[in-house]
Amino acid sequence: MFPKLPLSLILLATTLLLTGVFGRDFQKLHEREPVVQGPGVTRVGKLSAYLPALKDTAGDTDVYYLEGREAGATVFVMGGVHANESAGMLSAVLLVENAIVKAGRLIVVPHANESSFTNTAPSEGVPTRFEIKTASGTRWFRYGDRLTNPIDQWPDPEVYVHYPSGQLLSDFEVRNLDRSFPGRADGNLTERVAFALTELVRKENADLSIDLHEARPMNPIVNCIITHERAKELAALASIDLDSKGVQMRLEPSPKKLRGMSHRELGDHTQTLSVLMETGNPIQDKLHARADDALILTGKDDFFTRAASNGLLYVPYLENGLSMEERVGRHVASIQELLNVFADLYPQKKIAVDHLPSYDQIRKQGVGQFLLSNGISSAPSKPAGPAGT
Amino acid sequence: MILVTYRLLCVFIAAIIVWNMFKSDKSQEKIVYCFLIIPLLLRVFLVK
Repeated sequence: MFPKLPLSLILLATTLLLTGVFGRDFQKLHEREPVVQGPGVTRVGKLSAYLPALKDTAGDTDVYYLEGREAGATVFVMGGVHANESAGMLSAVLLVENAIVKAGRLIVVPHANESSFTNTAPSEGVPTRFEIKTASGTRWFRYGDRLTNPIDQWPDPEVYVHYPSGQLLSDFEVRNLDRSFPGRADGNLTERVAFALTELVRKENADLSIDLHEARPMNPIVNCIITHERAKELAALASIDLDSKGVQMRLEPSPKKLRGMSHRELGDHTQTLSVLMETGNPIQDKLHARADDALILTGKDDFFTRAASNGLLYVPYLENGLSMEERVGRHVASIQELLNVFADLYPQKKIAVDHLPSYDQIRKQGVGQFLLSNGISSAPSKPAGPAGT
Repeated sequence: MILVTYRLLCVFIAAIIVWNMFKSDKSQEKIVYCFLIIPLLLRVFLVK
């Protein structure tokens, strides 16, 4: 009946072996990059503390608390809402590893949508990791997708109906965390993550929430602070101050009719002042040539140079590209400015954060200079502290 | 529930492909069947 049985068995064994090899590559996407606890971190918790149903799921993620000795305002910063917007995640990591809070407290979530870091966009050919050199070694970080991994949430509906507004969106947006706020406790995984983040903001009484993103250079909503109307004054003053320091971050109002985004829903459903920041990231656009880790880090691509010379980009683009240093520097400088303006506007709610590197420092010395390695800072300007791992 | 159904479907299709591979006399066909099984197995094991 099976005249070629030995060959079939050999091929089947080879197939199983290959499945194992490929499977290991996919499993590696679930390995979490180490985030070193900086000297300012007072405790580390889990997002599932705000929604126990998230415990031991792909949606649970680390929450870092940096508490000052003096009571004051609470500022919530999240990166990694979209895992392909690396400067947002990396800026949040840089906060965790560098910031020292004197008054008030910072709560930082670097990987807001943990599941989206475990997959990449189909057909894009993007890398799954990138590396950053520090003075004492190399650190690796995941490059993921905009959307929750379908292995954790599947299938997508024909039409995504946002809760609670009832707004209709495209099917895949059901896995977009920044279309799922304020979320719901018994919803799909992305909605549960959104709900837990909203609960965090609500229960911790966050006075200010900052969501770190990146956008395509051909998208007009880039290099900007998108602000809820209650945070308009704060964001406008920060934008002006940044401009005076040579960092242009335009002001964009949060549209009232586009639901599900953090700047809109956190502002509407909680007490927080809510803003979202965007920097320009070439790998997210369709214009680039090869999508490799160099493009993530340098943002350098000849097609973008040509597009810029034809006035097609909404960000200043030089031949040097749009480096990670420029993008992270822009985010960190904007966070620092928002904190400064907040402290001026609301003197009764103190917030004082030290040891954040400046825009120029990050651009000149590189992001790696401000990342810790084995608990030891490679940044020469950093003070000695009780750093742990 | 739909995920369980999906996995069962993947197991069923993978089994049919393996059956056809054993039945086939042509080496080329067998190799093609092998390639077809891989993505199904990755889904059965919830890796992809």
